[in-house]
Amino acid sequence: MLEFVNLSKSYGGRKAVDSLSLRVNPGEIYGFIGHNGAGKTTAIKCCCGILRFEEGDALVDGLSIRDDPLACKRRFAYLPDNPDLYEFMTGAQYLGFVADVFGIGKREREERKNRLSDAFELTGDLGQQVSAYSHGMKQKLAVVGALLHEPRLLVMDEPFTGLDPKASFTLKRMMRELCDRGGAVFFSTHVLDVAERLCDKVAILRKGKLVAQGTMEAVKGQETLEEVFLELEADGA
Amino acid sequence: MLKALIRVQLLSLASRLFPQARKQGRSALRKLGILVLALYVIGSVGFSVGALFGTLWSPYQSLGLQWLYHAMAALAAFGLSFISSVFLTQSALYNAKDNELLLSLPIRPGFILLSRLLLMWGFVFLTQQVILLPSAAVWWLKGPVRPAGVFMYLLTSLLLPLPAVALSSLGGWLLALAAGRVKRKSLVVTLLSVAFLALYFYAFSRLQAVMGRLAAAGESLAAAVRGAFFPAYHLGLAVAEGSGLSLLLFALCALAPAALAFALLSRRYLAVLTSRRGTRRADTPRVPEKARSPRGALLIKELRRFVSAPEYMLNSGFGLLFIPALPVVMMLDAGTRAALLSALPAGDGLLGAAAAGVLCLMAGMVTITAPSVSLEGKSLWILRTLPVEPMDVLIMKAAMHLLVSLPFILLGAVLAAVAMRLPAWDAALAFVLPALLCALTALLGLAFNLRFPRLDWQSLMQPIKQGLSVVLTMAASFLAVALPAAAYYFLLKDLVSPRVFLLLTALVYAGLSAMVFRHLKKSARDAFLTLGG
Repeated sequence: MLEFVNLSKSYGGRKAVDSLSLRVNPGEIYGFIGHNGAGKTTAIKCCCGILRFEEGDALVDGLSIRDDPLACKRRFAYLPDNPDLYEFMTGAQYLGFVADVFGIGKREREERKNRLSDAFELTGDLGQQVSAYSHGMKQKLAVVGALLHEPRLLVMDEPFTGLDPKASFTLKRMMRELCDRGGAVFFSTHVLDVAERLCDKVAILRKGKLVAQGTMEAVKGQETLEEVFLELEADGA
Repeated sequence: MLKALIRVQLLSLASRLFPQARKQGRSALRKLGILVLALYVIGSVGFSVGALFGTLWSPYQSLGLQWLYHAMAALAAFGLSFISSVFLTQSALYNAKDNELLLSLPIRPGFILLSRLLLMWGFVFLTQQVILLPSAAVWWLKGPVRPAGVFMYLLTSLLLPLPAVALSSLGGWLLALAAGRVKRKSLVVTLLSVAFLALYFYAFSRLQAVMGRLAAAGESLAAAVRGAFFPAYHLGLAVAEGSGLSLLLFALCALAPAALAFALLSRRYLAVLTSRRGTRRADTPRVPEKARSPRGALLIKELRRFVSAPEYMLNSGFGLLFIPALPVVMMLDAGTRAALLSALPAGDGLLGAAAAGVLCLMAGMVTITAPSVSLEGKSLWILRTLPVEPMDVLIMKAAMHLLVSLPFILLGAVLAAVAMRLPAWDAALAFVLPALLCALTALLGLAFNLRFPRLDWQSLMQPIKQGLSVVLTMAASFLAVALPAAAYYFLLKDLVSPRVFLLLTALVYAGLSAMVFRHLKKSARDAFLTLGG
C-alpha cells in the first residue's frame, strides 16, 4: 500500500534520509520510530509529496508520488505533527473545503462530518474560528479532516501529540478499524509504549538510515521496544 | 534583570526584521538594492518633510518666533508618533507572544512592563525623527544655530517620546478593551481604516494650503501654542533661546505623564495580562456548507482569507478605492473637472486614452496575488497534500484578484465615461485596458511570489507590506503603464491614433499575460514543491 524504494533526501549535502526502503501492507499499522532529527518527518513528508527527494521513490498503491501525485493524494490522508490549519475559517468551513476538494457528495459529507466530529467531541465547536481553537482542538479538526474522505492509507507524524486521552483512544480505535477494512496506517511516534501496543510492524531510523524493521515480535524479541531502541541508539553512538 | 529583558526583546526584534535563513541567502547585489531603496525612501520622505518645514522657517524667523518653528515640529512629531504607536502598544505591551513565558519566570511584572516601554520609547524616538531630522536640517541650513540650542535640541529629542509613549500605552489599553467588545472586528477595522485614510488623503491634499496658512498666521498661532500647548512652547524656547528654565519645565511636562502612566499600568499590568475575557462561543451552523467543485473551494478559500484580514484588504486592495475616486471627484466638483479637462491635450481619442491610463495606474496598484503564496505560510502543507494541481491553486488566486477588482474597474470606467463624456468606443477601451492590466498584474504577482516567497512570517504585515514580490509587482505594473505612455508621447503620437495605440497596448498586455501564464503552468508544480526550501 505504501512503499519506500531506496528513497534519499539531502539538505545542503547532508543526507536526512539515506536509501530508505520499507513496505507497508494492507491491514498493517506500521510504527516509525527514531531519535529527534533521525529523519522521520522528512521521510514522511517525502512520501506525501510535500518535499522533493533526490533518489528513489515512494509508491502509494504502486503509483509513484513523483509521477502521479494527485492519484496518490486521493488515496491517502496526511496528518502533520503540528496542524497549522486555515485560521481564517471556522471548523465547519475547513471540513467543507476538504470535502469539496475530494468531491464528497453533500449527503455523505454531512454524515461523515457529524459522525467523526461527534466521535472526537468537536461538533459543538465547528462554528468557531480555527484561530480560537486550542492546540488539541486543532489536532482533532485535522484528524477529522484527514478521515473525511475515508482514505485507505493514513500517514501521520506524531498523531497523539496534543490529543486528550479520550481522543487518543478514539483515534487508535479508528486506526485499527481502518486496517481491519483493508487499509493501512503509517505513523511516527516517540511514545514507544503506544507503538509497542498498537503496531503490527515497526521501523527504527537512525541518522536517516533504517537500522531495524519487521514485525513487532521480530524486532523486539523478548525485550521491550524501549530496550531495543536504546540498545540500537547506544550501538550507533 | 532589566538588561536581560531588553536584550531578549532586541533579539526578538532583530530576528523578525532579519531572519537568519533569509540573511544567508542574500546576494551582495540584493543587499545593495535594498540599501539603495532604503536610502531613496529615507531621502524622499526627508526631502518632502524638509520642504514643508522650509515654508515655515522664514516667516517665523522674521517675526522673531523661532521657538514656534521648533514647537510646531515637536507637535507634528508627537502627533505622528502617537498615531503610529497607539496600535503597536496593543501587540507590544498586552498581546506580546512571550508574555506567558515571562510571567512564568520569577520576574516582577513592573520590569516586564518597563522593558517593553523602553523598546516602545526607541520606536517612538525613531518615528519622531521622520519629522525632527528634516526640520532640524532646515534650521541648520537657514537659521542661526548655537551650541546651546543643539544641546537643548538633543535633550528635548530624547524627552519628546516620553509623553507619546505614555499616551499611546494608555490608548492601547483602551483600544484592547474596546476591541474585546466589538463584533465583526475585521469589518469595523476596515471601515475605520478607510475613513482614516480618506481623512489622511484629504488632509494631505490640503497640506500646502495648511502650511501656507500656518506660515501666515505666525502671531495668532504663537499665542495659541503658548496658551494651549504649554510644553511645546517651552520646548521651542529651550531650543531657540537655550533657556534652561524652559528645558526644566518641558522635562517635567514630559516625565510626569510617563511616570504617571508607568505607575498606573504597573499596578494593573499583571491583572490585564492574566485576565482574559472569554469570547462567546459561535454556534455550529445548522445549514450544511454548500458543496462546491475543487476549484470553487479554492476560490472561496482565497476570498475568505481576503475578507477576514483587514491588513490584506487595505494594503493589497488599496488601489481599488482609487479606481472610481477620480471620476467621482470630477462628477461632484465641477471646478476640478474643468481644471483636469483643460490640462489634458485636445485631440480625438486622447481623453479616452487619458482615462484608460489613469485607471490602469490605479488597477496596477492592486496587488492581491503578490503576497498570496506567502500567505499560505505554515498551512502550505494542506495544499501540498490535497489532490489539487498547483496550477489550479494559482489560477484561483488570480481569479480572486480579478473577481474583486473587475467590478471596481467597470465602475471606474462607467463613471469616467459619464464624467468625461466619452464616446462608447473610448469607454469600452477605458474598461478593457485596465482589466487586461489587472490580469497581467495578478499573474505577475503570482510569478514573483513563487520566486520570492516569504513563508516564515510572524505577522501578516510581513508578506503583505514587506514582501519583495509586492514591490516588484507594483514596479512592473507601473512600468507596464508608463513605458507605453512614454513611447506614445515621445515617438508615436504623430504616427498612430490614440485609439489604435490603446488597442495595440491591449494586445501587448494580453500577450504578456499569456506568456506569464505559460511560465506559471510550466513551473507551478516544481515551484510548489520547492517553496520554503
